[in-house]
Amino acid sequence: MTEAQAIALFKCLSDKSRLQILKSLAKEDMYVERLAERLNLTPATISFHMKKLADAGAVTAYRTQYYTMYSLCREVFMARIMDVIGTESDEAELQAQRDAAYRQKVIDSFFEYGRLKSIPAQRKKKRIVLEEIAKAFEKGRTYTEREINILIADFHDDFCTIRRDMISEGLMERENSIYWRTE
Amino acid sequence: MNENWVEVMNHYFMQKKAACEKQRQRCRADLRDDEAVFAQIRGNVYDAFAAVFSAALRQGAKDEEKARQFFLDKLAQIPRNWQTALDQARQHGDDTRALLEQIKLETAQEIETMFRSVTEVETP
Repeated sequence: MTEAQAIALFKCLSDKSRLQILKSLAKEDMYVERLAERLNLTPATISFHMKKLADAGAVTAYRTQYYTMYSLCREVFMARIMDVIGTESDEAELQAQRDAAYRQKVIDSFFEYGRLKSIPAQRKKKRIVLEEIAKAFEKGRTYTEREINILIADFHDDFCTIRRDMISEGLMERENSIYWRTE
Repeated sequence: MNENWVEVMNHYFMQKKAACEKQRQRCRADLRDDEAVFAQIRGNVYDAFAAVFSAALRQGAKDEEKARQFFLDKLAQIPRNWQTALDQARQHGDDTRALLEQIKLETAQEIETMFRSVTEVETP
């Protein structure tokens, strides 16, 4: 079930009359007039609800000699809600693209010829800049404080602030003046 | 003609509007939002024609026949748009819109039947 189908079905089910129609159809297939009598609603109202249910894929119709019969689409209701929630959102890819575009924009704004022009004040932008600098450090390797300072100085003169911020952002760790990049 | 036809009609409109509002609230409370809308539409039609009835009485202030005819003319004229909308909705397979227009037309028809019975005018 797609996200759109799930939304359409849940919207359709959020009505007591439609829920009662489905409960009736769960017992047996029925036609409009029978449902109207059973649920004390006009046939026109029942037809209105049947159209909504059919559009949401909850019921199907078939013709007999005298009536149009409606039956419950049982397979639709066998789907687990957890499966619907667990499905990757259609929005996810679009959101990832937007995030990547924003990230590049920040990098282009704050870096020039590989050097940091200024340290961003806004935390979100500073994080992106620090992650970019962190790429200069190999994973799984340790560095002395002197080595760290030299590497950071390639990007910006204020290596102390950047070193401290990388630690507080969790991009690097330190113990006994030995540094390493966080996995 | 019922001598108290003005009073009877006013009472009729008041009762019907109150019943529709009660129905609307009951449906909302019962999580039947679509049917609440249907009740509201019916109530709106009663409300609209109650206003037209008041206008008819003002038009024919000293002339009952003038007032009656004014109201009958409006009962014929106003639903014409709804009929057109119903025909278009059916043409385009818009079942929802068709049902809403049908509700308005049925309510207008009921008002006309009531008015004619109270004023003892034969339905054409």
